[in-house]
Amino acid sequence: MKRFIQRVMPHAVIVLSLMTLTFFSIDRVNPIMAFMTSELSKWVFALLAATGLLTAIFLIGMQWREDDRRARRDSRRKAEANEALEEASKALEQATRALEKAKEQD
Amino acid sequence: MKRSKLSYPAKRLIKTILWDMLALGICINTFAYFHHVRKSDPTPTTLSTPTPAVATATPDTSAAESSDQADTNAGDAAEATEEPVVVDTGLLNGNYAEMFTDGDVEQTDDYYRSANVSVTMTKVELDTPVTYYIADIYIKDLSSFKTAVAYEYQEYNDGLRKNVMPTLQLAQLTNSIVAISGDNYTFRKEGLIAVRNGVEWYKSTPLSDDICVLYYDGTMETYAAKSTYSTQIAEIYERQPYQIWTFGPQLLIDGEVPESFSSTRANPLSGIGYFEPGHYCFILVDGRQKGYSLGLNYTQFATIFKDLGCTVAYNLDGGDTAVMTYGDEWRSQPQDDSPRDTSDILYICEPDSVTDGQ
Repeated sequence: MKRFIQRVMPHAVIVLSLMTLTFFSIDRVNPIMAFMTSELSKWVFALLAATGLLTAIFLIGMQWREDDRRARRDSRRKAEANEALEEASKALEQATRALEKAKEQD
Repeated sequence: MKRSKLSYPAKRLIKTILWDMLALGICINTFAYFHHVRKSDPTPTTLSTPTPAVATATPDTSAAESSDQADTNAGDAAEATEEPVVVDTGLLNGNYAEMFTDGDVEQTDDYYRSANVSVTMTKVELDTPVTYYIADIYIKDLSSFKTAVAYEYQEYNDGLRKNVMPTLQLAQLTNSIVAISGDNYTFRKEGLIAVRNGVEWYKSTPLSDDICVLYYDGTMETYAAKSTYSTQIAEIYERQPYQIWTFGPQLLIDGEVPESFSSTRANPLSGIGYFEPGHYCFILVDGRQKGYSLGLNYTQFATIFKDLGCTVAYNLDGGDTAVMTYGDEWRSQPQDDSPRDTSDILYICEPDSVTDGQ
């Protein structure tokens, strides 16, 4: 359901925005038709505001989730890099020790 | 089978746009249905009216006598209206006797004269080209000046929308002498007052447009929407309005043409002018017809009223709605074969006591 709402909401915003722009254009030509002032129009504007707000909230939520995902991925990569560095350091240390031992035997 | 050359993203975009356009079409049509077509039944409320001031008199009755007759009580009025020949409630103060007949009705293509009503039709053609029609009206009784509401003639309405009908049909149904398209009040739901013949059909405040008020004493006044507050509306109701129209703008302010109007475009226009109680005029400007008449803007329209000597002038619904009839025929030349239906017309007829007696 949430996914469906998330999918439909942006289209609702598009449709309601185009309706508002249509009303605005007609109102410029013939204000007596009350396309911008009638009670029904006010409901359209309220609906546009509500759907716009919800879409914005969903968008912000998606952005936050994306930020979290990126942060997790970065920290995971960082941890992996640290681990690799640590292993490399250990390997270098072992190699250094082995080299020193070989020199002593010579 | 030929494969489409469009890529998947392009196809998806087109599909989305098409679905959204379809949804937009459905939404706008639904909106239009509820906004314009579907109307709830009106609940007209009869407003308080002054004591009927109807009495018989001769056309050359003096002003003093007319004034006395206006004060006649209801009982006397009922007695006096048994067989009225001339109905004079003192609107014209006993003046303009030459405009009326002794009782006969004279009607030509240019004028209508009776003992109670006088209408003179004039056609004016300018080089611009602009053509407009003036109906110069003298009435002795205010019941000669009416507004017909289409909703009241539903049984004659063949259209889907019962609250509007053709101006000519309304004019014929009301036996009008001269009629002009009104303020088309049913097209709006907010910010208007519609009082028709002492009956309130709609009231929604604050006002969104200027209003024109005709009082029972025959005086006409216009009020700007922006400066008319609830207290002033209460005062208007206190004075017992006979008609209130909402469309505008008011064309004369303190008897003068305003410096500017909201629109400067030339259009077909209809309007009403007021000289004094009992003396009014309807003016109809044809427009949007090349070679015949292009229409006028508000300033030019207001100037016509001013030049005629009106002290109050008010614009009614224009464009496709604006038409005028004389008798049961078109007087103006509508731009379409069937002009836009209207919710109401302003018309002149013989006074109630005469028509009731017939």
